[in-house]
Amino acid sequence: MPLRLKLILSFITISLMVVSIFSVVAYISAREYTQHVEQVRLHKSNEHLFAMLDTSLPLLAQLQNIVPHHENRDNVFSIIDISQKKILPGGGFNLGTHLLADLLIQSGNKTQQGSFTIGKQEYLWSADPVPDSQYIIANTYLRNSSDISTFFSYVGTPLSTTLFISIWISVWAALLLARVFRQISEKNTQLEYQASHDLLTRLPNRGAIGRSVQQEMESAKACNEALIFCLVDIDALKEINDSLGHKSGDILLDQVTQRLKRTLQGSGHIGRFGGNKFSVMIKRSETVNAENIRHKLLESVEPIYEINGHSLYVHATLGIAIFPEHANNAQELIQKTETALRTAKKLAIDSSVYDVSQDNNSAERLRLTHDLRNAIHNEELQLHYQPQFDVRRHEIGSVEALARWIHPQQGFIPPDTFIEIAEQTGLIQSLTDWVLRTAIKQCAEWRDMGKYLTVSVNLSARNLHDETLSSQISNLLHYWNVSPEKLCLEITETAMMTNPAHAKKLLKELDDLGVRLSIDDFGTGYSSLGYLKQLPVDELKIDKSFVLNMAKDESDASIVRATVSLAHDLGLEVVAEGVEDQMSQDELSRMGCEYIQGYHIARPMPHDELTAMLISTKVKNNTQTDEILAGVQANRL
Amino acid sequence: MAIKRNLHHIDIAIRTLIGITLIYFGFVDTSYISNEMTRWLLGIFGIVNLLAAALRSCPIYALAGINTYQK
Repeated sequence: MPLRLKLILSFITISLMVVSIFSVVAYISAREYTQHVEQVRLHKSNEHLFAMLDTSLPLLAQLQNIVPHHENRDNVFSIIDISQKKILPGGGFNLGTHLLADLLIQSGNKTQQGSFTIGKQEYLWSADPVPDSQYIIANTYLRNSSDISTFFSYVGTPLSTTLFISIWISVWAALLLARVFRQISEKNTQLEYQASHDLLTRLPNRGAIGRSVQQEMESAKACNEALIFCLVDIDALKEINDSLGHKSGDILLDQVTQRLKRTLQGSGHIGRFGGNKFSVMIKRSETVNAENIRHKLLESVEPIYEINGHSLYVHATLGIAIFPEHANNAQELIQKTETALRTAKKLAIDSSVYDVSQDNNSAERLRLTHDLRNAIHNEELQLHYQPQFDVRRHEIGSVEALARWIHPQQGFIPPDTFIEIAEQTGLIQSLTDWVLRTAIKQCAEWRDMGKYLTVSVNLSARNLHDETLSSQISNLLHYWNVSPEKLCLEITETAMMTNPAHAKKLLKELDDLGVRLSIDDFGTGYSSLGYLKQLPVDELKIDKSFVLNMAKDESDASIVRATVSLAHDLGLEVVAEGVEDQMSQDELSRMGCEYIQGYHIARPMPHDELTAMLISTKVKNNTQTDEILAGVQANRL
Repeated sequence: MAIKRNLHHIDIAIRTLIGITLIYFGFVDTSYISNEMTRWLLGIFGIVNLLAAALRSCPIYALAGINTYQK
């Protein structure tokens, strides 16, 4: 039933009830009032009768004589003798018997009034004691049944009119209230819609998508079905907004929405996930799988758009995750899809289905991050040192400090893994601090033992943004009284190129301190030689990928040769890492490489092991290279 | 401000009829209703209805967003 009709009926019912209650109350009040009026009249009739009595004559005889003459329809008298407790002849005898019981209970010396019924007839009475006697005169009146109809004849019309007007006003009130309710309801519906939809595309927004995914997952779970959830990222939106204005961007979003709707043809759920991202959720079936939905979506989204006279090509990237394979709840499924999308963008591919190995935010990884934070804080990491052999001086002239992490539960964690976590989570700063502290302290210990080794420490791109790095290094060197040239800082060319201006400034500060600076993994990044020549570096470290294969691959050998030559021309020394055989070592020596590093020389080892090795191989003595290496390798084994 | 029509001609006819009836019982033939206040009430209601019919617009309809007038 419509709300308006409901309200009208309710209000009419209320009006009827109010008028009915009012009528009943008015009727009862009117009855009581007329009863009172009649009883007063009866009392006055009695008093009128008493006034006619002559006190000098016998009282009873007078009463029995007068009463019949005064009786009429409205006044029926009874003469009652209180002392004898009986009704005397001379009045409306029959009526009097009904009064007797009441009157005998009450005292007989004052006026009494009341009513009684015989059958359906109601009688009103007023009993008054005859002055100076034992008699009572009871005057009785048969209440006229037409009193009620008389009452209604008086109040009926006003009541009906009131009822009519009340109903009329009620209908008005109901109509107005229905309007107010409808407006409130419309406003609420509008607010609910706005809270759950994107107003531009009129698609469900992120919150509504989450709820919808959860609902669909529950129904899919019950039916043992699978859900494919995709995020479609429109890559060019920002450029279009910036170059053609937001209106064009809005038109693009609207057109993408229409295309997605046409593609799915009502078989899935489309949503605006936010910004330039759309979500698509569809049940997996024999004909619908991640691969063909990927094709369909890309085919639908990517063709040229005509916007304000411009033909625009839009590239889209897709992230896909599947329930139940990848997640058990909506939040997780959306999270995994976002991870897949990030992976696709990172790898610069069209689409990516969620793969746990690419998930940087998995629970396992979060645990590892937490443990790494604790390990750095509690100094549970170990610092290993890999010797670098000085080809010209035939001695271990320097070592590279390398962090190692033996996890209490998981054992050895590869450095690539935990260093990547440290870089992504900002822990790299603390990690580098610890490595610098430990390495410089160790350098001082070796110096005290008479072993003057240079210690190389790796810096990450993030460290190059640390304004306090140079002062921190300066303080450490000063504290341990280590000569600055005994510390070498290795920075990858990629790290330098992330913010060249900043890197240049920091490297200048570090160079002013007097520490050695080395370009790590040279040849693998996208550095500019023109830029590199401006940097105050002391050495180049050729990436091991070239050195490892140089014996077999002439191109690698050529690259190494050219790099050594280039470095020398720029006045830099060269370190070759990844030397794993004698042939490579000999070749590098011939090329003029100053330092060699690799498993052929020694693996990274703890400081005590390295110290023992240094002592046993008499590094400071000018022994032959082969002897030194033999000693090193013996220690390594 | 122009009054916007919101009453259909049937609505107008009913109101006119009700208005005339109420004014008749309220002010013209007073023998049916003895109570003067009741007569006045009916009479005023009659005038209100007749006025709405004459203007072809009901203010309550306007407030309630009802429109029985169809072009």
